[in-house]
Amino acid sequence: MDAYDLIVIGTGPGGYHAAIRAAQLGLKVLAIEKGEVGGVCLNVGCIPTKALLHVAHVLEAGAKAAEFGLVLEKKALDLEKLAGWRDRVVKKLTGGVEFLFKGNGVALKRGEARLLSPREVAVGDERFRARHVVLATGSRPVELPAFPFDEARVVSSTGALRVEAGIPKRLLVVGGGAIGLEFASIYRALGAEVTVVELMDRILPGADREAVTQLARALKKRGIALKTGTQAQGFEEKEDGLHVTLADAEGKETEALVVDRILVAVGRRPNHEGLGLEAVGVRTDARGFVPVDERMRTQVPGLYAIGDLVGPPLLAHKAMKQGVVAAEVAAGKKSAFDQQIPSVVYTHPEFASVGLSEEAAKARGLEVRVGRFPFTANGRALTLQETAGLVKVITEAESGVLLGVHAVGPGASELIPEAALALEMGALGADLELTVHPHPTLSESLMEAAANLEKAAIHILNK
Amino acid sequence: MPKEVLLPELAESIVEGEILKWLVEEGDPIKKDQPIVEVMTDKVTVELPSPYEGVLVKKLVQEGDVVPIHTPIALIAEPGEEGAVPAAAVATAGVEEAAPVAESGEERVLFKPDATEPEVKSPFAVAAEAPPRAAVAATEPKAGTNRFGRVLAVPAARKLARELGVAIEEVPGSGPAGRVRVEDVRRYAEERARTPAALAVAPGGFPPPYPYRTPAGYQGLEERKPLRGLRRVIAQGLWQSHLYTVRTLNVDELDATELVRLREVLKPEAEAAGTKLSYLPFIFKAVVQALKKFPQLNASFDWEREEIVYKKYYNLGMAVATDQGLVVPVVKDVDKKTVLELAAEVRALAEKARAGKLAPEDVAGSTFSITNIGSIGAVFSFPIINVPDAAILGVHSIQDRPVVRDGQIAIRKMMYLSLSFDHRLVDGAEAAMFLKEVIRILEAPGRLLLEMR
Ligand SMILES: Cc1cc2nc3c(=O)[nH]c(=O)nc-3n(C[C@H](O)[C@H](O)[C@H](O)COP(=O)(O)OP(=O)(O)OC[C@H]3O[C@@H](n4cnc5c(N)ncnc54)[C@H](O)[C@@H]3O)c2cc1C
Repeated sequence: MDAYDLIVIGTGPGGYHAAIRAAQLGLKVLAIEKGEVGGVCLNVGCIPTKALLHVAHVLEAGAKAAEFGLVLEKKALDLEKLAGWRDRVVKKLTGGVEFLFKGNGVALKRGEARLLSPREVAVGDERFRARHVVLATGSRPVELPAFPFDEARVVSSTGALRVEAGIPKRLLVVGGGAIGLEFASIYRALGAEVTVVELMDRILPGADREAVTQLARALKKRGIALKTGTQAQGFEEKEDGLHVTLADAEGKETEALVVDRILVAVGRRPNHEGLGLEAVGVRTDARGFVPVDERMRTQVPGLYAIGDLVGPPLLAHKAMKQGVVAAEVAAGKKSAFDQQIPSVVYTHPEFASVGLSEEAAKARGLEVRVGRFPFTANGRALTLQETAGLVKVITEAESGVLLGVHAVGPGASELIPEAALALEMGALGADLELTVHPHPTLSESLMEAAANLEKAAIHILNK
Repeated sequence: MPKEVLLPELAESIVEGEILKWLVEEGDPIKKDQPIVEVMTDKVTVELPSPYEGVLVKKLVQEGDVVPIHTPIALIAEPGEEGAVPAAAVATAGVEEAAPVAESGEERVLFKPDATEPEVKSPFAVAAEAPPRAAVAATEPKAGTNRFGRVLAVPAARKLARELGVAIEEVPGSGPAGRVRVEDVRRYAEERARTPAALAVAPGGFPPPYPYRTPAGYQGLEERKPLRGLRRVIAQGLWQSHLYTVRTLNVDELDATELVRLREVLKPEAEAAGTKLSYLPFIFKAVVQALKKFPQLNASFDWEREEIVYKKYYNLGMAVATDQGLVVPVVKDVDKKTVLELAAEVRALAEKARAGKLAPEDVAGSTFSITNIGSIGAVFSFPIINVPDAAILGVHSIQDRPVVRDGQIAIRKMMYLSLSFDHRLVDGAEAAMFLKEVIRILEAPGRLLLEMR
């Protein structure tokens, strides 16, 4: 039986980070993967969706080029080629992870892992021992009984990635969260009529309400129909398409919608069937997530859990950080996962945020001040033909301490890390305002939103 | 928003106070400077005036709590805003609040549908069996204790704090809004490492205090009182002294015949000047003369800096028994005062002590102490050192005793003197010579005239 210092089960963003970091620290590491190296994120999540979003951006930019006299004619979009390109991007990255495993001396075992004891893992008939075991088995889509996935008519996010199956004329997206909205953006750009239904009274529940309102407006402008406070109850296949029954939040039928494909993106659940958690004494919480402390330790000594398996936010960068922390803790370092986690929704325009929403800050009893800056007043945004959205900076009134930043608009995802750093540094709004930002960049909007707190933004009338 | 009332620095070098008694109730209107709470520090009781006018919306500490200075002790709402206390304001008080966990969940639910959120109603079967929101995964970062739900600190400072085993919540931040920087963590860790506890305590530390159990059959035959106020301060101080000094005893006797005679002569003159003359002022003077010759006995350890501090001033603590317990007011600059002045000051301080009216500065800054055991009448006792002093002199009653003088038995006015000293600072011979010096002066008190500056 082979013995290791550390075994990682699952090689998604959480798992591969844990494996590589542990190897860097001199541990002898085995990574076990039953599917593809790179997990959901690299294979059927973050990366392929962003590849398709890029295509959506190009298409939309091309359409807008007429404004400055460049008339591009969309001849045809070769979906097979698009799929091939998507797969090459994915392969390059997953191959990169395997290369990094080799270079760092991480052993890779393919197959489904099962815990025999906290220190013993079986893959088929083989057994492996380790002083530390990191569980990074991720999550998978929740299936609705009324909409079982057949990955043809009713698809999960994974099925929705298969653009080679054709672009439906009419698409219904069930679930107004990040994944649903990203696919709505992609399919809209690829030519589908898209309707999104969300049970809650707004899309992206929990996010800053004002920013969400801006996003919703921009999405509607792009032709995406948003039906909030609405649920999809079931569907029937007829000659002219899939007849979906919609109802209000109370369950009262409102209308029937005819579409050609249904994407269900209503949530994800953790993967631990057959993993043997019960056998080693790990209990999951009521939602099925594995409880851990800030050092990523489960209740069982030597056993760590990270990523989607331990609960929200279900984000790759969170899984990555937790993977690093678990590896460092296993190697005897005093690391902890205690950072602010930024979120991005890669719609078009993008939605990005870090820290408290205005509502959450107020709910905490804080007196807040809000600075705003619209992209319509940003020179770079104008040159990019992307002026929808705003940057919103929230500080505590008395101290000026930065509480949260929310952005909707072009490049929001690249703008929010600066805000994340500011939050981690315990910065004041003034620190953002007083930092010189290059001109012309989209990032000036963050500086100007902070300046607006003091009624000192130059390119708007500070009201 | 209601304002916080912080426990102020009541006197120099005072780091905490015990909340003795609230003088106002929650909901009471309060004027500026109205006393709101009684606080005891270093055996002295102080009434804290309110810094604001308004309404006391919340007491953040209870009677009997011992709290460090600068701790919020109450919330006062401005007149007219006496509404509900925002939860966050309460959390600011250093009370660990559970709330931020749920709330920090709030800013993280951007990807809510992915999280199989429980309040999602039908038709999602999975959601229906999901639990209430309380089941926040343990991955939520631990909430800090301030109003932001998280200590303001730069990431590198957090990392260093973890490496040094320092709780970031405890580090005073020097940045804007109290942001903790790397330097703050380093300084805090260094200061902590220099505390006497870290130096003087053997690995494993002291065993915990012994338990008390009522003996079987005696239930109901005991009376219990909370350990509060002066008694607790005394207990703390003496325990410290007991644990952190190497207390050693040196006993000698003094032929006070001449001293008694001198006092008899001077008494009417002192009375004419309005003062009752006891022996204590003479002993004070003799002790100061001796301390000048043996500076080790007027010294202290500074454990934080690992230094011995030799003091060039002579402040003598004098133990005074009161109804509440023992206190040690301090007569300052004894070397610069006349016997008459000392007599007056000793009386005034003793009276103040008995009336419970000592101010914090009255009990601070002793360099050596004297305890008069004589009046009650033990043969001699082994006094405990008033830390951080190096020694304490026990003074006993003057009694006629037979002694041998020039081969004859004579009746002389004799007094025992017992010197308790910290053997780490003072060597045995030094202690003995010091006591002999005190005796040499007091046996011929006229020497004070010759040698006193
Ligand atoms: C369509 C989509 C788009 C997304 N876009 C983004 C985005 O843009 N940004 C972002 O931050 N997040 C995004 N996410 C979320 C992100 O993909 C996940 O948060 C992330 O993948 C979680 O990483 P993980 O390491 O916890 O698990 P996973 O990535 O789920 O990996 C788990 C791995 O463990 C393996 N495994 C499971 N059980 C076993 C076993 N018993 N033995 C061996 N191997 C096992 C699985 O095969 C899998 O490879 C997206 C998700 C989806 C579905």
